[in-house]
Amino acid sequence: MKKIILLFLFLTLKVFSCASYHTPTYLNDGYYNFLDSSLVSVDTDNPMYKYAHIPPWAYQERVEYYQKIKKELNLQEWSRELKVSKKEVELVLYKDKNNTIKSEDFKIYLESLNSFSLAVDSYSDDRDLLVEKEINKLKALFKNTNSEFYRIRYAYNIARGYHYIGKFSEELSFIKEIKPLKKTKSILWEWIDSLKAGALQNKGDFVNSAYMFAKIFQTHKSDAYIGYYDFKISSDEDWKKLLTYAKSDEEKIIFHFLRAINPDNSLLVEIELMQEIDSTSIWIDRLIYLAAQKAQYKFYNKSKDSKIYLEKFVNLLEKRAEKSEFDKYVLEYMSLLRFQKSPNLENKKYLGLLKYIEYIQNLKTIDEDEISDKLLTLKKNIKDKEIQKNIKLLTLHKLANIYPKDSVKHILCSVVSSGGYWDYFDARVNLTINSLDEYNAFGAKKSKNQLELMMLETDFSLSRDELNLYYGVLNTQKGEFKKALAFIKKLPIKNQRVGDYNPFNTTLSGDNRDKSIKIYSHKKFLTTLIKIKKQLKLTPSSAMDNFLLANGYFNSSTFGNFPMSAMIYRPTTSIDKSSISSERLKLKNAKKYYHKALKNAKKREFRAKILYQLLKVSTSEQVLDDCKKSTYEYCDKPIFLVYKKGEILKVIDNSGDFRKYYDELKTYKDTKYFKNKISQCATFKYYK
Amino acid sequence: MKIVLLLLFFIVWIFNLSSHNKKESPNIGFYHWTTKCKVEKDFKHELFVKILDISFNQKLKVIKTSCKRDFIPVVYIDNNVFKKYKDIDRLVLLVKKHLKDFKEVQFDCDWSLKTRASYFYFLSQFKTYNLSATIRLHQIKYFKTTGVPPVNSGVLMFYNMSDFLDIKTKNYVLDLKVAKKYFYNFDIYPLSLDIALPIYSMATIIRDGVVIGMIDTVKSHMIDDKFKDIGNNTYLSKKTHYFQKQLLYEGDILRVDEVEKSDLQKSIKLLKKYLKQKPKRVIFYRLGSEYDMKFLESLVKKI
Repeated sequence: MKKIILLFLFLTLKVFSCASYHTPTYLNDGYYNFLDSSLVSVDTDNPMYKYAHIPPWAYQERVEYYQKIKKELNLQEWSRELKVSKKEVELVLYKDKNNTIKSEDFKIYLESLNSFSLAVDSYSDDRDLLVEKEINKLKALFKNTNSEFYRIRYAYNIARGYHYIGKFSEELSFIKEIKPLKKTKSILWEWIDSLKAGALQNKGDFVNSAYMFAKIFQTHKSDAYIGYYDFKISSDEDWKKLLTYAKSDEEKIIFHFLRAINPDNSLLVEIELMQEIDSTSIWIDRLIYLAAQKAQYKFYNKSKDSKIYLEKFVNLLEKRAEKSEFDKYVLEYMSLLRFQKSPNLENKKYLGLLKYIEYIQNLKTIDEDEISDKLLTLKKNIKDKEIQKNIKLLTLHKLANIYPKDSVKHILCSVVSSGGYWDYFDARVNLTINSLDEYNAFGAKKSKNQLELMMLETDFSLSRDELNLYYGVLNTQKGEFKKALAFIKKLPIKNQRVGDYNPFNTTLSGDNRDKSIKIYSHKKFLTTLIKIKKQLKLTPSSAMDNFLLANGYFNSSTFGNFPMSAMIYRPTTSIDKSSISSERLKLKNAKKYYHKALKNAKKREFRAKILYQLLKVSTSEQVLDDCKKSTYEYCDKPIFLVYKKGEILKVIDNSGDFRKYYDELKTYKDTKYFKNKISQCATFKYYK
Repeated sequence: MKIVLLLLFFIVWIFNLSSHNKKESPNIGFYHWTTKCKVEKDFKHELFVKILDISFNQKLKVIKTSCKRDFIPVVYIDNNVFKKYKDIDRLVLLVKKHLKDFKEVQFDCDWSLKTRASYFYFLSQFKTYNLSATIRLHQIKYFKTTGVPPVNSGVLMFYNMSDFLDIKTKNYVLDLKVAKKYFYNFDIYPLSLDIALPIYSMATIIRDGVVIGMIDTVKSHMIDDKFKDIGNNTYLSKKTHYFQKQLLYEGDILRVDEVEKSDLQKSIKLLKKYLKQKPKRVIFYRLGSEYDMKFLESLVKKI
């Protein structure tokens, strides 16, 4: 049975991975849920009634939910038997702590359990033999104990042992043998039943097995999920036979329900088939609840069949003979989603909710006061926490798309509404000096409206150090070194960014990243830049100072050796299109000062070095030009396109400035710098 | 004496010829793609076992398969991993942990423009292995855009060339018409290529105009009177019923995607025409399908 569950899980995962599993844009495989479960008879804490679209993690959540119940009910029984607290039993049975419970029977049981577990978990080729030995030992204990309590537990482990080693016939006959014990109540009977249903399935008795699994789903407190997942019918003959086993219409309806929740099957067709049996069944309401979740998932994730699914669903609901309040609500909600039909409901509370969804869907401009008023009214009327949360998510998602992209409200709305999809990284990458200023002002604002309060319901916050860091980085990016230093100075050394290379140095490699003995903190980098700039005011024609300043600008770019001084985030292999203008500014400044250096440099060796740097700048500028044409939000850096030989040459060929500088550099072929260094550059071997 | 010498020469020549041919015939391999390793003990061909199936959904999900026999490991990585998972170095470590006992590895990922830099960086961390990667047809036609992975050799996946989710797809397993659209740039493609050919069949289920799933190992001779043949290997379910353990509803459409022997022969002919060098291996996808070994052997000899 375990294997079947695992296989199901694996197949589900496989299907998701093979079929280009669609990743929704903003809700991380969730959907806005506006279904009030109080209108249907379902326990919303039970994950069986969540996720009609069956995401891969649903299985785990369901198992964990039942494992908790299973454990609790088992501990209750142990605590009663041993007359100790549940906590004490839990420590020994579930947390592997040393046994302090003074009961001889318990000690014997525990030893047998440990020995049994070792055999079951063994990776040895003789595992089955080991388990069989354990079964024999357990059988002896089963026979010799005077306690019904322990006898049931030994029985369960015996059945489990047979199940593990695939001896299903022995398992079934043993379970038959212990039937008389059933008069002693225990939660373990549920587990033994589940083993039996699995053994029947393994023996090929699919009908009896499916019948049992349906019962397990309907009645078991501690492992109903097994019925949910292992109910399996795979032929018409078996299905017909199963229907004859049903002792009531409700049982027949449950068979359809279990068939419906198989993700390969149709919820809507099964609802129709269930209606033919009993249109008033609670199970139909539950399935409508799941079908409506699926409809929301399809609609908000823009699934291809969203329209047809919603149309069929609306059609089905319209035809429902006696519509419950929930039916009416779902009908109006689905009609709004599919046909933009303005909702009409007698129930004013839910009408208000649907009207609000309609309002938000059609929103073009933001009137914060109007939205805040509407939100406050909804808050009063709708108490369901899930719906409240989804109102917030839907509203903020819509607003995130309307607020300007560099505004803090856009960032906050995106973070809150994405439900974790827009994370630490996304929020920070999008920061600008403007949004940082707004963030400060927003935090300081005393009276905030309902919307603003919602925006602040997030874990996203910027600490004082982060604010100083980002102000420092963004000002360095703009070339405002003094302003940047004022912020960076406030940062403790450990929170400052540090470059592993000398940012005033140049090397043969394009990004100036050769071995360096100097490590520059952001503060030291800025202080030196300011010093050089100051010096240049006194001696503007200093070739060396102009060269050093130009190096500083170049190395603070994404192409240099200390980009983290002037970028909040720097992707290693690509360039974000949004960073093109700030990168261009750094290169423009580098170029300006290299030109000044070149104008004033006298020594030919030095001039060759400056020209070589200008080649780097012009190539980098061309990379940015090419990047701008990218159809994506980013482009790959040519240096990382190792598989595209000649890519860098293509960039060079397109760069008019490169040709100009290269021609000039060729006139320095006699210099040591050219002979010893530049001539080693791989690119020049290809570039003539 | 002359006759003896001539005879001897003839024998040597024939021997050389046969050993030469034998040498040049590609090795036959099979992919093993299920989670439980099931291989007959006397199975004598090369085996490519998918040992890791890595996907990403909020966090990395890794499905492992182990196999107690000699095989070449294949690691399948869903393209979404490279879209979403940022810590590629950690991914490298995770995969390497499972490759300790191997010198050769094959990676299977249908990379895209958005993920190629990450995927290729990932591949570049496995230089110590004899490294191969699966290559889709479109990745050869458009290799100047899609890039060439940094591996020792590629395996051309000569199947699944159509879009699984597109209801207009004629045959998801093998469609030579679609394949022909991609026969460009084979002459200048920089990697040496082995080939992977399909021997499996399946049925695609279409409900309400959307592909909702598939049934494995379906062949057209299995279609019975509960279906109406609506042409082009597609069949309309006339009533709600179970077919090959799968529940189909009235109105569902089943498209049977299978590979005829003649399709494989045509595939070989096409590949022979376009491949710039003879592949060293022909790998059949996948073990567990019905196949005629003698036919496959003769097919491979024709390359």
